[in-house]
Amino acid sequence: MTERKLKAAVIGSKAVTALYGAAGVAVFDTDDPSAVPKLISKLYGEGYGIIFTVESLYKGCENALKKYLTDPYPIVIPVPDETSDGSYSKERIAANIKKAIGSDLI
Amino acid sequence: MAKQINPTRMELTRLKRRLKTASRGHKLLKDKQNGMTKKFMEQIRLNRKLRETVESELAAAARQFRSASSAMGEKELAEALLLPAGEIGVTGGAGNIMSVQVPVLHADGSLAGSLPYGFADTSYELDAATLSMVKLFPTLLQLAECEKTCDMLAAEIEKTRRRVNALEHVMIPEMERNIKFITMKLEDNERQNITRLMKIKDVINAR
Repeated sequence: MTERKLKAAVIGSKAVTALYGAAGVAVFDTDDPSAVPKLISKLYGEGYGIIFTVESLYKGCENALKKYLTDPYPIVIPVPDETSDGSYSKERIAANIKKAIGSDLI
Repeated sequence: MAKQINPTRMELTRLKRRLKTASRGHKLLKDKQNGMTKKFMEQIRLNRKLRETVESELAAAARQFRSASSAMGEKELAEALLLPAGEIGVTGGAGNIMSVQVPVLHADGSLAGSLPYGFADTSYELDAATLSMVKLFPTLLQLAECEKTCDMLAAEIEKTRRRVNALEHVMIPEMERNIKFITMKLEDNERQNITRLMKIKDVINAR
């Protein structure tokens, strides 16, 4: 695979994503988890290869986003929002370890 | 199943060849699984570390942002952040870990030190929040790359483990059983043949 230019985007509610916008990340506001898979598909078509999605939305459409796990791009990862306590990211890491090794050894 | 196969020398040769290939494949897949697991453990440790860094830094930036929001008012804040300081370009390629294509990201340039607004109507908390977010962006990219690599490696390790187990516990034992069945059947035929010849020789000698 050759190198190519990618853009970064963040999907979430206005209150959370404003800060990302200041850092040069394109902001797409939504509060509806069911709209996220369609939006991601559209954004990937427009050259957004890295898509940060706030945790509350990511949780709401986790199953629909599983299809992106097998290809290197787009990279869709959850980022914390005001409701996060850090447990979801730990759960995801533990789930990956369990999937790969069979039990959470770390 | 052993009963469904043809007990012929041709089938025996074919099965022996398949067993050899399956054993070699099993060894290769086992080595691939071990290699991927080693890489996965390195990546997952890095993932955990990056997650902790990103979450604490983001929480700090969000706190500063909330302070700025209460000091400035929502309308002024929205106006200040209406336009970004610029767009950070990212170059994306693909790396190879044990024939798994994983993403590799590089940020082209940086927005460090640049703010998207003037200082007249904004508070210092907003400056701090924006600058810490700009500073955090390369770490966010690193986290994205690492987390995706972990997801992909975990899925590939699981797939490889299933293949290794299928070869180890189903295919190879079944082929060995079939080879044993054909060998025994051919030996049995051989014995029957010898007995028949001896019997015929006895009959001829008796005349």
